[in-house]
Amino acid sequence: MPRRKVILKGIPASTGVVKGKVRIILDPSDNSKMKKGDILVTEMTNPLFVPAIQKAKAIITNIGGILSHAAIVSRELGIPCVVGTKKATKILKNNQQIKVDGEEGTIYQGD
Amino acid sequence: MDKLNKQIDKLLDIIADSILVAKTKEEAAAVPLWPLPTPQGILYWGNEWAKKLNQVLHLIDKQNISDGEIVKVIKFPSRIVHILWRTDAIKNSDLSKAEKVYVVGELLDLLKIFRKEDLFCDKGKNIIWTKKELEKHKKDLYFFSGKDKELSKLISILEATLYLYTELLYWANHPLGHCFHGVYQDKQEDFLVKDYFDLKPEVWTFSQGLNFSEVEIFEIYKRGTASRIKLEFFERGIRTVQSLKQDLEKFALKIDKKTIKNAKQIPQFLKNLSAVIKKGSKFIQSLNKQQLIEKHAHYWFYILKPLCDLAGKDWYPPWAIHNNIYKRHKEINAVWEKVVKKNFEKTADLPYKQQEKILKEAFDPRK
Repeated sequence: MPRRKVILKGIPASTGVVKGKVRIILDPSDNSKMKKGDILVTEMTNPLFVPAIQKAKAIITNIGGILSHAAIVSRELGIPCVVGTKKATKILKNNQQIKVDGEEGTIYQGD
Repeated sequence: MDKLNKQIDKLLDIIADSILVAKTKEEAAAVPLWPLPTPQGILYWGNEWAKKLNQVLHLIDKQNISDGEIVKVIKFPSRIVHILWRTDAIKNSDLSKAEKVYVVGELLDLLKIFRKEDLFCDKGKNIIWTKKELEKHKKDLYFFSGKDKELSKLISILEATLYLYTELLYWANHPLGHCFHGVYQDKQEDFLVKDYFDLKPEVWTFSQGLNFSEVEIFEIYKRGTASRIKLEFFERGIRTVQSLKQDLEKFALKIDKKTIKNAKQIPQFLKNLSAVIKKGSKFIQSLNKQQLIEKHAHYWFYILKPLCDLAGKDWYPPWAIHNNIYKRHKEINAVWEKVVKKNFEKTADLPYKQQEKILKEAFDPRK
């Protein structure tokens, strides 16, 4: 079986492996663009992202550590999370199909 | 004094570790704390806050108040530990060195009343209930199955939303609104308590729209899970990468001390909470920099309310802070932009050990 291409690495923050579509939200006013089951990709979460977080299948952030808010909230929700990727919002594209491994802190290309 | 010195050393170790472990280099450099970097706010209110703290601690000291009364008023250790995290404000205040050490020592003494077994949570536990208290609290709980997927998802969303709500109220200092304690273990189970309290603080008008002011979540995990549930001194969250949800056996819920027996009520609480978050988010987004600093000062003084109540003083911020924000803003903001922020950026590039040393000095009340 062909190995998936690693497109990004970060700090593993909440375990679990899921596949889904990327939704980049940089401004909370775009929360409504998030569909249930999308993977939320952002700079760093804050309470203004609540509607998007509630719909997320996984969370990827540019900055943060294992006690950052995205990490803690993901563990509460039981969804995978990778933080501190530095450039997720630049490398990933909306609607791109990816696989998130929250244990390894790795994001793979493809569905 | 020797004992206090050792405790201050330990506190400084924890502060440095907490800051350096929680943040990546990029984060430290950007200081992107939402919606306002705490060190920026402290420049405006820190000195007056430290003086008030010193004053009320002296008053409490003189009154010979019982430990029981202190627990009744302060309720949770998380607020005391977060006042301790503001040792930077205490250190940079006009208080004398002796007074600064006194304040930190008194706060550690208050903390000891709650955390009798392990003051610094060295073993990853935050034990604040005795066995007797635990049994008393367990008595009237009604447990839902953690294995029911829908219910488990619902409680997860409620917890995450409550967590984000406390961040809306207290920004980066969210444990001012929650306390996670345990893990209490017996032969059968591992018991964790998450208490979200004072959810309608008078400092935020939008919070008054909430239909409840306290949510207690009691979680029972499969025996042995406790080894993965690491609670920390500052109570920011559970220090683990693994989600614990798969090991959740059952959970119970109390809202404003009333046991919830009907799971259909949970979506109603969630709906109300989400609406208040929406309103609060909109309000905070509408504030300009000075208004944000004013709110920051306001809630940090509000946090002193239980201590002020014990001391018989009001908690309101003094007028000097208003002057700092609205009349000296240009001057204080220049200190932030040209000195403090620049120092953060510079230190972020240094090796870990050097950053650790700088942080400890920045917080050490003895230097």
